[in-house]
Amino acid sequence: MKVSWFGTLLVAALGAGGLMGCTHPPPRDQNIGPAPPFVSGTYDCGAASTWKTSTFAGLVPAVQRAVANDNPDNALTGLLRTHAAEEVTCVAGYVHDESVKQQATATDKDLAGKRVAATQAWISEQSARGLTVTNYTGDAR
Amino acid sequence: MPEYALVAENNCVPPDVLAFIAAAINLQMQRDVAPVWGGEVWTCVALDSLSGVASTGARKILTFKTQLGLANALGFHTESSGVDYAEALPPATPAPGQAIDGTTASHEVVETFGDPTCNAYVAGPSGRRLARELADPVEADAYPISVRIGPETRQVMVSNFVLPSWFNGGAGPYDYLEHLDAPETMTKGGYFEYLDGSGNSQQVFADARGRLAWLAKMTNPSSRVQARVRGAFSRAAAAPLRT
Repeated sequence: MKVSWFGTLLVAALGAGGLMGCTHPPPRDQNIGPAPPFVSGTYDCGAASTWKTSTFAGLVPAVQRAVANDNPDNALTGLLRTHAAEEVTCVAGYVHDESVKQQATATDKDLAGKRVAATQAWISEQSARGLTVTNYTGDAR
Repeated sequence: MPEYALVAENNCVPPDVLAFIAAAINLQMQRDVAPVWGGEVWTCVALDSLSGVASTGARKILTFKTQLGLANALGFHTESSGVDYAEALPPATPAPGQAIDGTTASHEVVETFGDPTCNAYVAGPSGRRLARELADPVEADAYPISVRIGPETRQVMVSNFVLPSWFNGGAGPYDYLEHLDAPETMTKGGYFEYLDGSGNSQQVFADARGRLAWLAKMTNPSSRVQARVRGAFSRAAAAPLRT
């Protein structure tokens, strides 16, 4: 285990030294077209059919960035240009729940608290449009 | 206290991988680091960019880059003009079913937590003034955190770190994984730095592997900017082995 770990270090270091550039494949959630039209209903975030423009985890950094904006509702709305509303709302649900946990434990609760408020507002807004999501939780252990 | 945001320059880390690493480090900081290091809990999130992100002094940034600001490093954390930040090379792409390598990011976040301004030293049981770097002595050791995001579960490797007893002496354990049996010791590949009686920086390596996994603290006396660097690989730069 330790040997293979060192091998990883070595490969990474040599890769950088050789100026090979980024060796990763393109991100899986690259958007290739306009978002699907809004369709109200209840979506299962765990179902493959829900994910049309991204993977669940692949959309997390975009939603986290949007809710870190001074105007999170506007930034989340901007994501609808390239992602389906149900996708953004699934991830907003995940970010909400994770931020609630962070708010409960973090020494500085301000940033997590802003995420809770922003995602709650978004989820409520989508619910008012007739879009709800289920099965969006996550955990780490 | 702050939140660490992980960002990947030019998408050099896939966004899903970035999200899994951030979630793992977030748990590590809350569950593993905070309880033994004073209870302060830092959070960690992944951002796809900093575009439009509201400025706040509470957020530190770790940027994955294919070329770092310091040559031959896998990652480093530093302070410049009152701003703490870190950089790291992207982790290798894991094969299907393999764990994501979050160790470099974890290492830098944990060490920023231990010494945000990169200039803290602690008088150890030996009398040496030890750099307050929490991961260096056990930097080759990692453990997995299982992260589920929606329907997907991935394993993420994060870095081992030393405990207060490593600096203060007394009864163990001395590191999170309980590999060490005494203060001021290292596991294979480990490293630590201290100031000698003349105030000069000295490095101690656990072994030849530790020498190659060159860890150093860079000091710029004119600006007082200090960076602590992880995992550079340079035979030419490797210092003589000190024990």
